[in-house]
Amino acid sequence: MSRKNDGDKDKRPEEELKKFPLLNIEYDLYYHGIKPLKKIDLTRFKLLSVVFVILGLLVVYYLATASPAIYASIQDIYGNYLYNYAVVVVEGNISQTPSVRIDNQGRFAVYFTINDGTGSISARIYDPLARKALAMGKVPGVGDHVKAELQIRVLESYTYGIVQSLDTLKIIHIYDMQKPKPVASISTDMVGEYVEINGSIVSVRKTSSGLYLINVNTGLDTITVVLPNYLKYVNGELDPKTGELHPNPKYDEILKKLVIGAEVKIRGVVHLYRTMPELIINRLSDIQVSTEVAGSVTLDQIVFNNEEYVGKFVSINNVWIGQISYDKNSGNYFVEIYDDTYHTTAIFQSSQFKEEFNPFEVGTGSRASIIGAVCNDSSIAVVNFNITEKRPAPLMTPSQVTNDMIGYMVALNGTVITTPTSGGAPQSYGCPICDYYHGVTSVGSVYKFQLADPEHPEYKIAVFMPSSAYNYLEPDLRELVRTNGSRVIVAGYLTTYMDQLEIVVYSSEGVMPANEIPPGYGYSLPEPPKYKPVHVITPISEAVNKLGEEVIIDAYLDKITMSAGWYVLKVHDSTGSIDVYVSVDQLKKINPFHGASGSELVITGKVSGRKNRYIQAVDISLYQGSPTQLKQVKEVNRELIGQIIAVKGEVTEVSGNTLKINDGTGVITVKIDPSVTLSTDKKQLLKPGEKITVAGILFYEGLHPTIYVYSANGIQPGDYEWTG
Amino acid sequence: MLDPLSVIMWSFLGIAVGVGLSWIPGFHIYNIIALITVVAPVYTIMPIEAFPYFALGALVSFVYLSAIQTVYMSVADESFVFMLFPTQRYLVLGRGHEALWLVTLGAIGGTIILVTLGLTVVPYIISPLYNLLVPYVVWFLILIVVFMFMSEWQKMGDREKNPWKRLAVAWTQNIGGIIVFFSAGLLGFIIMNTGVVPAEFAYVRLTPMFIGFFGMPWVLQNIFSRIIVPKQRTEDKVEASPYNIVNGTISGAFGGSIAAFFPVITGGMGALVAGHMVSTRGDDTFIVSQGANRVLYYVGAFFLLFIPTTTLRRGFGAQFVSSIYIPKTWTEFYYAGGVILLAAGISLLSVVYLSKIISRIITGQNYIRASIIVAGLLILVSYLLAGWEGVLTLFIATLIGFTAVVFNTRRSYCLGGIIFPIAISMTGNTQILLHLLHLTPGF
Repeated sequence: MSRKNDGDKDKRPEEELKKFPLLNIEYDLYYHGIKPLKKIDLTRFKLLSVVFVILGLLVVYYLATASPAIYASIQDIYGNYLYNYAVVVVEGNISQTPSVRIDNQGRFAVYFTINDGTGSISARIYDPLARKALAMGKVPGVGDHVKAELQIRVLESYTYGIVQSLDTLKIIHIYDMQKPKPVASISTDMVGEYVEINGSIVSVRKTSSGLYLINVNTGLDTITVVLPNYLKYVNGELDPKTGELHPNPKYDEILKKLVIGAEVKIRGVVHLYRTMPELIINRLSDIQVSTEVAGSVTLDQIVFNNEEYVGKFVSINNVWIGQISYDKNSGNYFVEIYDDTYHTTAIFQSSQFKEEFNPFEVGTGSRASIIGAVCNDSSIAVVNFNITEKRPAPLMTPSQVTNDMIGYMVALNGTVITTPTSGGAPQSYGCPICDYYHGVTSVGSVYKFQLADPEHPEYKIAVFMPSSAYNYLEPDLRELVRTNGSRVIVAGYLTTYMDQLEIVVYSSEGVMPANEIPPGYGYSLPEPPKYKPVHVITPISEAVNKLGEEVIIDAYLDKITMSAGWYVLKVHDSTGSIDVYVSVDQLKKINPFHGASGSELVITGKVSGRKNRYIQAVDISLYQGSPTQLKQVKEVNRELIGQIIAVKGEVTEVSGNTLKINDGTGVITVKIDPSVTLSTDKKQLLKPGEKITVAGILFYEGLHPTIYVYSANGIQPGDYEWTG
Repeated sequence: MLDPLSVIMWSFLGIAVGVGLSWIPGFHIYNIIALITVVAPVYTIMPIEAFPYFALGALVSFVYLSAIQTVYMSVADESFVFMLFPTQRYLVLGRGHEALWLVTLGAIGGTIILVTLGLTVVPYIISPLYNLLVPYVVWFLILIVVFMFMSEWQKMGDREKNPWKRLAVAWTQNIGGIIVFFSAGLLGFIIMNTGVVPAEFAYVRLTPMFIGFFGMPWVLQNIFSRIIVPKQRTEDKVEASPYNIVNGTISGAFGGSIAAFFPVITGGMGALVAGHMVSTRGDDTFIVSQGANRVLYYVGAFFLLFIPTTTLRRGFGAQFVSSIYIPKTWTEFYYAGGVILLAAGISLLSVVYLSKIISRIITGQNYIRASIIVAGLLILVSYLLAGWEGVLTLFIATLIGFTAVVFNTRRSYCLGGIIFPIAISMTGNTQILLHLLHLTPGF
């Protein structure tokens, strides 16, 4: 039976039900076993319920304003689960160095510890409030008095509180409460005092937690000063659009000036670390570093008159960037720098070195102007520097690399060989979660692989990439260095590890595909510049009277002999002559094709010998070379003993380090010093039938003249030409 | 380290508490555990290492047995509010016991999924998964809330005479939802961030609010509606296809997992999302899915506390227990898997037999008297847990929960009480809102 009636469309269901009562079966279906109940019209409740809700919320709101969070002692809260999530006010002093932590997602959190006399509790400000607090400078320091409303979290093993609003964090800084007390020494009974010290920096060290420990010598005591990491972001710039917090630029400026020897005035709070008192810096303006530059100087001045310069800032212009090494203890880079007068070690902080020394573009032989603090007679801590002339790292292949190049920046073209044991070479597992678990996306230590020579695959060199370089590689380049057999060019400095040569690619900019042309294409390895410490030269006639002292002489080479394993250089100047004892490594600084008799040498060494004075060299430099003469074998005679000579000819016989050369006029023996490491190219020359040019010291073994080759530079191809 | 016998013994105690109290209308296991710690702090008589197992046993049995109060007495917690109407339909058709079986089947499926995955895959994926998703949690939360509003299906407004009236009546329901969400949010914000609830009751500061949002309005509705329960069939048979049961179980487990993993997102919200994702249809599938959902939501979230590879704590239970003892070893982790199965088995038997007894008792009865007693008990629980301030919070939360009833809108909007303040906190705006409301102390 249809109940549809087009004319009754708008009728209400109640009217319909009256007109057409339910059938029994329908009744049973709708009201199975129960009686239909009287309907309650809820419409009128709607407005009423909203009114009640508003009234109820007003009551709660009134209670909230009338009953602020209670003061609580830390003793009552700590470990008491009943207070979990309680909002309480805690008042006390900051008892530990605050810190800022940035997690993997880049979220900030500020941690500080409040002690109210009954106990200590860790308080935290989480992002995004943490960024605001840092940007506003609303972060308490050690010794500050704090009143904070905290939401408490009680865990099994510790309790902490969260700052929900910066309005409920009141800080009274210690520097507003106390005047700094000038002291030269601190002790445990001064804990909590705000003091001021003056002195010079003895050492600077960064800890794993990111804070810097600075040892300051006040003359009476050496005081450890702590520069907390959160100060890097205090008063930093908060980008209102992106919410990004930029570090306070003053932090890096100050950090650059904190170098060994720098004069500082520091204010801070005396704090106990375990049982030792130390000074905690609460704001950047509490550090003043004397940056007065003593003026433009030459390297010989600061090396030989260092009493005058130690601890002072100096400016050195146009230095030649030389050999590079890394100091594991300090985490700094040591770069040998040269000018016309001498050489010394410049210490670069890791970040500034990596930032400015693009491994492909700024190679050995580049020039820079430096401002730095003189640490001692052999090092300068670089505060600021400017690359004035770039010389790219020369492009080479692994087979061309030798031990003589240690410290030099080179670009190497080769084939990647990954090995499972090469420092945990990360392999992609094909899914982000597995990669994360296996640490592929975040290499903990280093990435190492081998680079094989494309022409001579048997010649390989180890490539060492610190995680800081590997992690920032572009994905395609990372894939390239992870793929066995791929061709790449890497750039870095050469060093040795376990007596094996390796190249350290310290920057993510030090890798490029092999099909690109690096800036160092066509460049050769540069030679260190010649230098003469004009301000401190001692004539030989005066030097002989300075027994036991270190002197620098400017002398001319006469000849070279050997004595008890040492090479003895016989040299003279206008005032006299003297023997100089040098090691084979020092002798290598004299290029055998340019260091013939008459060459001008600058020699630093200690005057020794009770009866016959001689100089034990500590450094030697070829200042003005004299070209080595090419001799025919038939011209060689005993008058030339001790002279550096050169011979061109064909290799007729090779036996170990000894070979024979025939130049058409005769045969001469050539012996290569065992310490000489030859590149592959040069090794290829040491075969019978090869044309070769050799330069070395002439000796006689019995009746046979022998050329002693002391440097890899002494072996050259047959068509090698040289000039004076 | 506890020996296996002690683990079983203390778990039994928890199961006994859960079985004994969880079927009582308006009683939530979290309230019970909180109450126990105040009235009879059991962890003082047991080794603290045993407390997590006590709580786990109680929680598992609650998940199974609380379905009785929901099916027969229409009192729901925040994870059950989505399934009230289907179970009520079953009840008035005399199929309450069958509905309970469907919930229990879902719970069994959920338990199997939880234990299988929980003991094998979860420990290895949980940390990386968390790290991958944690930056977006606040966005998930906001989107789910937006989705809740968007997916509200107007139940009224189709019988009015002109379009404007129809529109107005239909939107009344939505506006009611918005009022409920933000009223609850404001109440939650004040409770969480001020000293309205005394600090010494802070660990249960939200309990009166939740009783008010979900428990009390249903008790009051029972009192007003004077429902008389028809005779119930108590055969141990269900009318559902195996496909629907499997479909419901998977859907529920998915929703429960979402709720267990993400902070603040409750079982109901997880179910809403998962239900749409896997297209759950039909009352039987829906009821089954709720059983599985609750296991994953409650027990799964609590089980995270036992996983040695993560420090995630989800849900009141885990947070409360972690303030007393956090399990640390793999042995404790595997013990927990065993306790879940043990408690599930006992709870399954208990729920079937209790259902038969209760269905017999309530047939032909209205439960006005029982509801009045329950209402009194809920007020007493609130008082014991949070003092007079707790009772006041309960009263106001009840008004808000009741507003959802009278506007015929989703009760889950009451979850604004926790979602709103947490979202405000996660986006770093707590300070701004406190400032706007002049709720910051004057120092």
